[in-house]
Amino acid sequence: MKSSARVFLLAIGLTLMMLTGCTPPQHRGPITIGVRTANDHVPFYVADRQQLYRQRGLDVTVRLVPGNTEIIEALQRGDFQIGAVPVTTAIAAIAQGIPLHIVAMTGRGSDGLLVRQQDGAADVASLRGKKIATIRASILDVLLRYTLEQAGLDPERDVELVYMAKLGDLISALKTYQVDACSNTEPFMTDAERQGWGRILTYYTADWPDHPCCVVVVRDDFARQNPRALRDILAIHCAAVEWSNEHLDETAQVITDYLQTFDPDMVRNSLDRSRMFIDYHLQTEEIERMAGLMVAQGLISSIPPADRLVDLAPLSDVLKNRP
Amino acid sequence: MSTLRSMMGAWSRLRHIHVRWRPWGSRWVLLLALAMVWELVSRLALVDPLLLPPFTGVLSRGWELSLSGRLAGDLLASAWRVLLGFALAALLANPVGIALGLYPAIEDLMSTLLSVLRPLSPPAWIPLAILWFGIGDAPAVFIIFVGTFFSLVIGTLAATKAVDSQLIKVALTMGASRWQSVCHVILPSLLPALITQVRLGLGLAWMCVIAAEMVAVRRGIGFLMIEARNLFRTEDVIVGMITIGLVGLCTDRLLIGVERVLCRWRAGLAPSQLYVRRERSP
Amino acid sequence: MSYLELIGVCKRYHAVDGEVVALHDVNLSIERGEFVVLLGHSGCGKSTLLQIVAGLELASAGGAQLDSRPITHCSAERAMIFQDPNLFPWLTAVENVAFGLRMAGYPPGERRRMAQQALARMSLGAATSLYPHELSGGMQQRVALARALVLDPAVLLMDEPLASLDALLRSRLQHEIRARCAGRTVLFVTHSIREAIVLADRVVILSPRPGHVQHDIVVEGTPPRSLTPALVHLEQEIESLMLQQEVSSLS
Repeated sequence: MKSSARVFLLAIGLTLMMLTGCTPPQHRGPITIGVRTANDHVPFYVADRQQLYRQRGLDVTVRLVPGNTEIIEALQRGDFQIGAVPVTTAIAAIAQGIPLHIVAMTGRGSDGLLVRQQDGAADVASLRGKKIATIRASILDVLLRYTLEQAGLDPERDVELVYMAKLGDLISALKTYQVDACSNTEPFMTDAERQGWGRILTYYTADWPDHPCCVVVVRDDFARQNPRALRDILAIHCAAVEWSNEHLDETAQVITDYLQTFDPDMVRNSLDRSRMFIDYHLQTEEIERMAGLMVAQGLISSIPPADRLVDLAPLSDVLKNRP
Repeated sequence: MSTLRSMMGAWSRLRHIHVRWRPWGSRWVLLLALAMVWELVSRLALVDPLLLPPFTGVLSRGWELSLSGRLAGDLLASAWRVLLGFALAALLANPVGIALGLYPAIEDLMSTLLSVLRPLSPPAWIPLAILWFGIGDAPAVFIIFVGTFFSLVIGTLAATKAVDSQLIKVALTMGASRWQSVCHVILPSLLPALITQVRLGLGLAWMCVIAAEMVAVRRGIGFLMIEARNLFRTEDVIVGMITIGLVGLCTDRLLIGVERVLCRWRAGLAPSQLYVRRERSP
Repeated sequence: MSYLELIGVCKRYHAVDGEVVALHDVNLSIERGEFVVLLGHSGCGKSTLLQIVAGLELASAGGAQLDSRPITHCSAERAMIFQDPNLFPWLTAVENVAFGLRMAGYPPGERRRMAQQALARMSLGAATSLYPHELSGGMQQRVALARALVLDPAVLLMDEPLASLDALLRSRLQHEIRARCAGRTVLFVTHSIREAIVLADRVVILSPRPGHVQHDIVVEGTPPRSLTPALVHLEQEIESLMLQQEVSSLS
């Protein structure tokens, strides 16, 4: 056989071998929920700590993951079946055709602008000509641009946006005078205030009250094949949300234990109703509104159809059947 | 009869061309084969097209990004950072590596520090990069610098130690001073190794681009890929990877040409040439 | 005092299993223009002694003097040729020969002219622009010789320069070396007795380690010598002396 033909067949064989691992298998067995280390994912920490899944006979593992993109990628591969991610991350994934949809909220608010205590701007309009750090294409970026526009500033011309990869980098850049403000989230912002060097300029809820922050997403095939398990998990989620709101001190302790950083008193402050709200209620319109912002900012090309974005049916069933 | 002869002559010429150009053909056959398999596997959904978009889809997206000027702009921004970061690393690493190679006492002093710093991956330097250099190009260039510097030092140190000491002895016994022996014996001896270091180092520098462009830049191939990942645009990520790969290929070919010109004095057969089957003459 | 004087030269090294004495109390006087061959078993310190004269190594005790000046560092007045030609691979033949002249600050035109003449004297005029890998082993060694001679050194040091060549080439180069080095002070190291008696005005035999001068034999006749019965006899005598050395060192 000629050498070029051998090369061709070898290429085919190797490629097929490598790629057979890329197709996610149909899910059987334990359910994995991917969540991040953030205040508004606390219902999952609570459910895990109180073994609510086991009490319902569910074999569920809650996995803490450092990044939102990693959660979506794990969902795409089939390593996770359910995840909690910022609403913009969920919309971007669904817009690219990843077979997921949103089934519940997990938190509202909690995002805003942080400046330095000493020399920070007095209001959003005073940020004209300043440098603001954010994470490109994240919810922090989308809401920052919206808030700037509401204050009469063009995000591309009137301020200098500086993109970084991690929340910690944003804080570091602000603290060391590299930037004049940063778009950030709780509990980082309350922590900066507590340390005495930071000041929360505004929460984005000032322009969009109780805006959606993080949502619960589920793989389409998992939802189709396991409707009962999904409803049970959502019922537990609702119970955990209510428990969290009724026991804020204990909730702060749970967050401190799972994040393994921060002070429980500081976390308790960051859970204050004026800063954020742990919630499960979901409206299609608010998700579409967020998607519309993303289209206007050029992050996605069009708003995905409502039935691709959201499925309210499982949550509605759970709420209907509650005692 | 004459027709038969001319046909045989033509066949002989074709075979000669085939033998001469076969190495080039094999390379492109492999790449084409991989591209075809990729396209088929994705189109036939043997692999989830969301995980691996079709090859033609990636090409089409690459074309879109090129036409819009985005790809060229991002590539230039990254290339500038890579060249600057690498040039600074090479300018500092080569004299340091040579000094360490010539002075064992200095090598003893520095070896522990080098061993500790070398394994640190570029992303580990990001917090310090921001602290020391602020935001913009400077920390990105620093991360590329630090990602290539230590490897260059080790490579130059090893190459310096491998310089034939007999040549240095010859130079000294012909009246060369120590400095002259460094300039006229050690440096020319190191030239082939230094060119190899440039090839490897530039490759390393491009590998650092993604980490470097996590730090407060607004343009660049790494930034394009990070943004694409955040928005789950797998095609854009692959376009970025292919772009970096093609740049690497072009740079490598250029440096091989430079080596052929500057080091035409290198003798004899390469080891690999001793193991190939000889072609039958056509 | 002689032109090249070695006085009480000792050389000690620190090795893994203790101190090694390579040379012990070597005393040798060489007159201007003498061709002296150092002979001895492997490891007797011949090459070490040569390197001390070249200035590549320092003696642990004693020292060497050239024209009453102590030798403390390398210099072109004590040019050295090694067993391997050690041509600089990135330089052509003419550039290799011109290397020492360049180090001495000769202008480019003049050093090229002198180098070309030196190569022509070695019948290598056609090889000036060839790189070392394009030259045969014998041609490379002749270029190395030209490179050393073009510097007109006071002393030419040669460390087994013909050891890696075949017998025919070796014989030819022996004649060439003797011809080119007529009247020049040469210290030549070899382990071949025959080579020693063909080339040398004097043969100095070093003892096995620690090396010191054991025999100093003047060879009659004009080198390069043909093998006469007298020379064959001398060769056998030297061989027997060296065998005795070996036996004594083993006992």
